[in-house]
Order: sequence, then C-alpha cells, then structure tokens
Amino acid sequence: MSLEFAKTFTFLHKNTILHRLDPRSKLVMLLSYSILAFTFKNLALMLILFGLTMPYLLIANYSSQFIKGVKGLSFVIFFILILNTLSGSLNNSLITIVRLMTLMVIFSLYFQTTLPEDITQSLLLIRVPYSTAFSLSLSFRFVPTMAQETEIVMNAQKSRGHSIQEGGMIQQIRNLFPLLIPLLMNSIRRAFHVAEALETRAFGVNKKPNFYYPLRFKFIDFCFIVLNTIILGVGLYIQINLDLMPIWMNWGLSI
Amino acid sequence: MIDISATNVSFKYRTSDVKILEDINLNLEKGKFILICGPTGSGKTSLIRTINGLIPHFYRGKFYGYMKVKDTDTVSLSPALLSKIVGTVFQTPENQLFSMDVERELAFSLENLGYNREKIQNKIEEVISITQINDLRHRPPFQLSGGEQQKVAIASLLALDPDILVLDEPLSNLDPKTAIDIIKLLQNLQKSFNKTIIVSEHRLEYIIPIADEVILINKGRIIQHDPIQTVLNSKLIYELGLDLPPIIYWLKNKRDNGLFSGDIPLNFEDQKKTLLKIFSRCKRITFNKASSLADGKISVDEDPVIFIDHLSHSYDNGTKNTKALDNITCSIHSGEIIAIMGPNGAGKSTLIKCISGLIKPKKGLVWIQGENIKKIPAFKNARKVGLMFQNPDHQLFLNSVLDELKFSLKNLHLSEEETNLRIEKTLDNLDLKDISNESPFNISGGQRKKVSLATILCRDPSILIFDEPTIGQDAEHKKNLNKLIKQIQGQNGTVIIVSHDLEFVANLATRIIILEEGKILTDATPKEIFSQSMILNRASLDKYNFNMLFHELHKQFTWVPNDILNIKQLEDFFKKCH
Repeated sequence: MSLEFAKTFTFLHKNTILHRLDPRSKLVMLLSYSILAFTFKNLALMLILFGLTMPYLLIANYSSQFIKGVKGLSFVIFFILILNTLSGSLNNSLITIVRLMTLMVIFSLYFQTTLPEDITQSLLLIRVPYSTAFSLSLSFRFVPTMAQETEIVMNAQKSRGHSIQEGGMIQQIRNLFPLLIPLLMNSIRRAFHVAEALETRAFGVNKKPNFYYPLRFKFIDFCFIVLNTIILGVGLYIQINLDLMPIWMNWGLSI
Repeated sequence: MIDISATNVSFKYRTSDVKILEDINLNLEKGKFILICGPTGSGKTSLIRTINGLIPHFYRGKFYGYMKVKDTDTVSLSPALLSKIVGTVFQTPENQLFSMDVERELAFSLENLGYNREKIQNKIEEVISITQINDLRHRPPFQLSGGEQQKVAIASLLALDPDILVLDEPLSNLDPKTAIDIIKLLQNLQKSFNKTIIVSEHRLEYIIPIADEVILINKGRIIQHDPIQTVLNSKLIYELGLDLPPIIYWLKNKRDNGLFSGDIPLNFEDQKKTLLKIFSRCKRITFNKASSLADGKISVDEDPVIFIDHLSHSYDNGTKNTKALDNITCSIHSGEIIAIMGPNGAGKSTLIKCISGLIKPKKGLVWIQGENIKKIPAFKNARKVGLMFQNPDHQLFLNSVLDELKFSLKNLHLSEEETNLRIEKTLDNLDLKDISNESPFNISGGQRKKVSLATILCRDPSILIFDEPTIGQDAEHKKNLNKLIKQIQGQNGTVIIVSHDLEFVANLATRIIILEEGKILTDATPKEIFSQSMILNRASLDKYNFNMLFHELHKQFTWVPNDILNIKQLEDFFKKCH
C-alpha cells in the first residue's frame, strides 16, 4: 500500500504539456497552491481550490494513479476524521482532509511530471551544490528499484513461513524486522555500488556540469506562471476580504 | 602496444587481514579480448578495480606496486578522469544507470566533463548506432530488461570513447540469446573499434570461443596468463573447479589419448569438424538392447502434486495490460524434476510465484496436494512449497546461522526436540556445521547461498522451487546443488527449477517446460526437446552448443544419436564405436 503511495510521487514518462513545462514554472504552481491550501480556512474555498487542481490532473492524464495515491492515504484520512472530529468539529476535519488531498495532488503532479534531472538543474539555479542536488534526484530515481526490492524481500521471507500480519500491535512491529534489516543492508550495499559507478562516470570532475538539456523558459511557461500567480493573487485577496464573498458560500458544517 | 601494465601490484582492503591481490605482474596488449577467470573469491573483481582505479582511490587499503593504464599511473589519476581511458560495466548494471531517460544517461559523463551540446549530441548518435539501441532512446533505463540495461551501460561508457572496456560478469543474468547478443557487441567493439575488452565471467561457454587471452587467478595471484590455446593445453585451468564447457574436457581427453592432434577446437564449427573426424573412423557400433540413454520417464498413475488449471495472470502496468501467463494447464507429480525455461519475460517467475501462492492469479486455479491454494496465504502455503530465492541478501538478517534456521522453523510450531533434530540434519546435509555460530554477514558468498538454502530446506517442504540457482556459481557449487536436488527427488520430493543454464538443466531435469509469451511452448522430456531443433530455435535455446553438435553430426552420420545431452552419454556412446 505504502509503495503505491510512494509511486504517486515518482516520475512517469508521458508526453503532456505539463511534462514539457519548465520545472521552475511548475514550482510556481506548487508554491501558489500550497500557500493557498494553508491560508484557506473555509470549506467552500478549499473545495474550489481542490477543484482547480483537477484541470491539471486531466492535462497530465493521470487519474488512475491519483486514486491509488488516495487509497494509500485513506488510512491517514480516516485517522484525521476520527481524531479531529473528536477534538474539534467535523467541519475542521473536512477542511484538513481536503487540504491534504490538494497538497497531495499538487506535489505528486510536480514530481510525476518533472524529470529528477530537471529538479537537480532547478536546484542548481538556487545555488544548491551539485552533489547535494544530484543525490536528491538520485533518490527519486531509486524509488521504483526499492519498491521492487521490498517486494522480493517480502516474498523471500514469506517463503520461510514468515507472516507480517500476525499478532498484536507490538508483535506486528517486530514482524517488520525480517524485512527492514535485509532492505537496509541492501540499500547500504547499493549506495556503495552506485557511488562506485558514479566515480567511473566522471562525476564531480567539474563543479557544475554542462547540461545536454538545459532548462529553457518558453512562452507557455510564461503563461503558466501568470495563470498561477493570478490564482494565488485572487485566492489571497478573497482570504483577506472574506466579507466580499457571497453569503451562500460562507457555509460550513456546524457539527 | 601495451595498454595495461602492472608491476608487483598487491592490495589489502582496510577491512581485511589478508591481501586480496598479491604480486600481480601483467602486460596486456591493445585490442585483445581478455578473459579473467578463477574460483569465487579469488580476486577477480579486485583485479578489475585496480584497472579502473577504484582501487586505491575508492576502496581504501594498502596498495603496493605500480599499475599503469596507457602509461598513466592509476595512483596519480582519479577514477573519474581515468574513465576517459577505462570504461567499467559493473555486476549489476541497474546500479550504474542514474537517469530517467536513456539519452540523458548517455550524456551523463559528457555533461560532467563539461563538453558542449553539439559534441554531446554527436557522441550520443554515434554510440546509439554502435550499440543499436535507437528504439530505447527515450525509455527509462530502470524499466529495461537485463540485456537492454547491459547495452545502455556499455553505450554510456563508449560515449567517452575509452580504449579499454572492463566488464564484471556481464552475462550472469541473461538468457542464452541475449548473452550471445552482448558477446557479439563486445566482439564487434574489439574487432571494428580496436578496443581492449577485459571480461571476468563464470559462464565460460560463451567467452571461450572468442577470447584471445586468459588470465587465471587463484587466491589473489595470477597463476597463468597466456593465449587461450596455451591455457587450455596446459593443466592449470582444469584444476580450479571452473565451469568449463564439457565438450572441451572431452576433446582434451581424446586429444591427449591421441585421437586427433593439434589445438583443442574452441568454436562450434571447429568442434563439429573434429567430432566428424573422430566419428568417421568408427566402423561398427554395438547396440545394447536397453537404450543407451537413461530414460527419464516417471510413472504418472498417482494424483499430481501440483495441478495448474487454466491459469492466466496479468500485471496492471499503468496503460499497458500485458499477459504474463496465458491459460496454462499442467500437472506435476512427485519425484519429478521440472525445469522451466524460456526467454526473459516469458512468464517463468510469474508461474512459480503462482505455485508458491505469492501471487493470486487473475484466472484459473492452482491445486497443491489436492488443495486449492486460492484462499491460503503465501506464508502458510510455504509449508508445502519452498521457494528458493536467488539472492541470500534478501533473506538473511539474524546474528547467526543457527538463529536463521530457528527463525524459519518458528512458524511450524514443532517441539524443541524436533526443531533441534531438523537443524542438526540440515546443517549436516549442507556441510554448515562449522559455521553454525557465525554471523551470516561474515561468511563468504558461496556459504551465504548455502545458508539461504538451509533456511528453506529445514522446513522440509515436499515441493522445492529454485529460482536461477546457478547464477554466478562455480562448478563446485553446481555439483553440490545437483546432488542435493537428486537427493530430494530420491525422497519423493518434487523439484522445480527455473534456469537459463541449459547444461545444468539438461543433466538434471526429468521434464522441461518451455514458456513463450506466457504460454506453454512445449512440455516434454529433455531427450524429446533436444531432438527438435525447431523448438530449440524458437525458444532461443539453440545455442546450447553441446547438444547442437550432435544435431549437426546426426545430419552426416545418421547413426549418431542427436539427443546426447552430457559427457557421460557421449562417453557411453563413444565406447560402443569401434
């Protein structure tokens, strides 16, 4: 389950407008939606914001993965619903859930449509050292590999009669050790192999490499930034002048 | 021209007490194809690391002597800069592919060296055409098959145009057809581009026909370095327990007995000619009444142990919905040794996962000992079906070998006496007694493999499945494995082997099931399968030279049976010729 969730945040090869956009302009989208998601405290506004992520979802052609991601998140959603409703109101917990889902959509959109290499490049532009930026993108690259390996280890232990879902809470945590230790050992080993391979691929010879696909702002990037800035501006304006909002929108569940 | 020269090179890893390499003296000429072979743990990988500079730059320790690559001392140049001279393909190519796109992967080292865009583009086009990977250009490397990854890794190194290519066990995970593809690519690089190719490999049958020189290494020392003919003519290589093609053993033996003279033929055509020469002298054959070849048929009156009933499965792969298994029906009886073969991606591993209950198939049922396993969780099904995984690193996690076995037996809820008895028996059987208190992380690779075998064997399942058991193993381990499997068969167990290793399988299996695109292509005894060249060809197994030799001989001398599968059968047959 958690693996499916991790997969919603890894790059998927597709040819959509969103994939072709410059990572920096997508970063503007990421930021404006995140800012709005944290400033809105009204269920209707939150829902509208969530609705505004949908066109992107459609453009990125990505609905099935989104549903899997939500499934992975369902456990968390359930907890928020119970805990928040017990301590506060149902209204607040609904807001939190919609906020969470908006953030999930926007973040996974960013990571699913942006090549890790491009993330490295955009990090370089904000003066993150190359080795740090590269290791970040490398970690995205190895998510699918890790997912694969987790499955193998799980199967290998199952064939020794090991069951994860057995016993009480503490037993279940202890049941994870036969998975975690081989995974950890293999990750360390892999990290070593990757480092070794990087050494022989001229990594780090120059402080900053000369990228084959340099980042380039296109006209569409400009439009995209303007669009997202407008969304951010309008959103903030409404949030500051809440009384401007039509009354019918100012509803909430008072339970 | 000398490409690589080593003078008195010795090396000791910082974490180890013994020298892994000792007094290495080496001169390698440009443009040669060089095979490094030796038993596991003999220092092959370390020798490669001294050539590409990872020793002493990345792996720290005590380094003695001089290692010169193209007149540059490796101590004075970092591996990153050395990469313009030496390209390295590591054991798991997946770990050396860092990008999400093949083109970017190829550009990676060029980017790092600060080449301009135009030059990068030219280089990419050049290496793509050399390695013929144009169709992979925009695929993510981690989704490619093993052979494709290997090609991309080689291409990514060629981008820097190094004179020397070093490959550490490049064939170990490939099916026969892909292995030949890679070999052809390497040969082309050597012949047309005058590259020096250095390969360390266990699967010698593919390399021997094309290698120029052999470096024999044992316990950190080079014990022989000569042209391949000289090496095969002398004794040393036969004493290391290496996995040499059996026909080479046989031909050497016959030559030493004076049946023919000259060099031992290494490639298929020459071997055929020599065999023709040997058998053409034969004037008369004595036929026994009983067939000379062991008949592997097992009586199938009893109920099957495994019954697979119209099994279909597919993986949800985003947009594509590819069928991994397509309507498979077969039954397997106790005492059988079944080999499942076929190219990578034919559905072999899906099938064994279905049998062991790790995957619940979308359609169809699997019955094990008369029980439908659809509702049984995999860890319970593991009582009956033991699935042996390739890599012990995925399984071992405790402080001692003994604890590992106890962990495996825990869920069987046996009495303490019984538990101890089983542990005792398994340790004895696999010859692990001496290391039962060692940590699994401190023992050698071969021993780890044995321990992971033990963790399954001690549970005493009646059905055992081996997933590629011979990968990266030397002849000694293969022999033990062969013995073990026969022993299980003797105790009326059922064994299923998934393997590309034709030689291993041909000598062991009572039945071979060949899968192709999720369907059963053929299901027959080895004898039947190896007499049908059409099927062998379709399953891309026709490169099993040993048996193919007799197909060819059969064409000329119809009295030579075309189903000779191993040396013993050949020798038996040969004795009957006068």
